[in-house]
Amino acid sequence: MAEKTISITLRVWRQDGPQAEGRFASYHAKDIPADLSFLEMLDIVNAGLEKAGADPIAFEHDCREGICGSCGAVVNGHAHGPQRATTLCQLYMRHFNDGDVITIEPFRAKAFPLIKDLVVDRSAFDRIIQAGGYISVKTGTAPDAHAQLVPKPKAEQAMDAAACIGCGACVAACPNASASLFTAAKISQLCKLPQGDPERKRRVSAMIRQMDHEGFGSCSKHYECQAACPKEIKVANIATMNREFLRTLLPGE
Amino acid sequence: MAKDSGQDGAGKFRLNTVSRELLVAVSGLVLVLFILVHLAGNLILFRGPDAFNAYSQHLHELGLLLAAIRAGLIAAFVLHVVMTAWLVLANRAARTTRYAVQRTMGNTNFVKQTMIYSGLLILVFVLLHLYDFTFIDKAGPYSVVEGRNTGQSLGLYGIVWNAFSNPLHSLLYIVAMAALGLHFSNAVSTIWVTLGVLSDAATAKANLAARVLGAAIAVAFSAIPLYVLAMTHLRGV
Ligand code: HEM
Ligand code: FES
Repeated sequence: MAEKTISITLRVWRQDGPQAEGRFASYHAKDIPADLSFLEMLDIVNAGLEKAGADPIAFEHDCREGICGSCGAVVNGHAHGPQRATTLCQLYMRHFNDGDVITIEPFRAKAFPLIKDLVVDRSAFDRIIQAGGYISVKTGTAPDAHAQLVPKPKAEQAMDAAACIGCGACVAACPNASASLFTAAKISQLCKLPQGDPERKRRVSAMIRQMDHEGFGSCSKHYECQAACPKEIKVANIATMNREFLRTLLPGE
Repeated sequence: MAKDSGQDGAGKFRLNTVSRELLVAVSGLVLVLFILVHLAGNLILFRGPDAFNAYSQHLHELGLLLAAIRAGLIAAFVLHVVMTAWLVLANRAARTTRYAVQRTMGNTNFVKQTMIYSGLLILVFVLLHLYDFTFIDKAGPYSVVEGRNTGQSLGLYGIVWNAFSNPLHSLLYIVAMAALGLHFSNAVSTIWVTLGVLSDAATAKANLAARVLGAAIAVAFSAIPLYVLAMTHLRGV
């Protein structure tokens, strides 16, 4: 049985560098096997471009199995494309139709400066983590896993928040380009656990301060982040972050 | 490399975005409570001029307490407007290049996207409203309703009656109340996240309750101009 293929037109944002003028360029991708991933489709288009001596489309990727958070672009107006709970690398061409025109843009946020084409600099996320998204522990032998008891519901909330792969789709999808969902997930994953407790006050203030400093917007509860998140991180984490912040206003222990 | 240090700006006092959100929410909550009390007071109008004017009289007899409540309301209002304007400007600045194609995943909506516009409409309306009913002489010529009370003043009741017997004036109020209803419904559904008191499970219920409340408020406030219009133009009272 012949493999199903589709032919599509791509409108891709091309920009040579941070300061360069960007524009949309059109490419025809013919006879793309429907079982290829979106990034594999781009690989084919890029092979064609290279063969013709043109500059391939720059895009970021690493694991290609939806766990590293490297990939991402806005496809037809959706961060990571129209499929819910899916990273761009795990989006398959069978979700598109023959003859489709697909617009591909980089994640847009002032705090994510563009490097080239679809590649943006997301190191603002790293700096938010550096500001407080960690716990301080004595190094040495790892403690026994059951040395500290964690109630099951708390453990699950922390694990759900820890599913965040830091891809930046929340920022890309947010009308305010807010990093609240990312920052909140990183705060939640630590503050729900006993290991995260000692530094909780300092952590939430420092991470929010850094988030603001990077130039992200604030949360207006559009819930677009939650819908775009490939790991289905919930807005409830933002309620947790705000509650954590409110705790810092209480008189110290 | 200022950008690399998480401590940049530390020591300098600057309200972070979460604090600003919290101030919007708390001042908004004060306004929500005020709206509910104000509505209850307004509905006394349906019990006739004596009851309504007596209510207004009682309010003014509160003296210092009334002054304190007014000061608190003005403070909440100004805080709300200043903080929301600050947030909205910062949010716009956070995305300088727009998307060529942007689609919603079905969560944001017209009401959420127009909070600042419904808010600004309320702001303009409040100024007009104060001019209409607060700064006016309650026993002046505008309080006399033609053909009622034998040409004597009908107090605040008469003033309200005269204002709303003008269809354009009524329409303006009804439009403003629609904006208030929309602003109110979104605000009451999202405030629980801001204040950090909501779990995901409760979100759907809170949304529905907020919508019903927002609609009820718009309809109940609008009932007064509609009633006056109906009485003056249909029954010719
Ligand atoms: C009596 C009238 C008003 C009431 C009852 C009210 C109520 C509220 C409440 C409770 C919130 C908080 C929602 C949250 O925390 O998620 C809110 C948000 C907001 N209000 Fe008002 N408000 C009123 C007037 C105004 C005015 C005059 C403005 C005009 C500037 C305004 C602009 C906004 C905006 C822009 C937001 C959304 C802020 C954001 O992006 O998160 N409001 N309102
Ligand atoms: S490439 Fe790793 S998540 Fe897509």
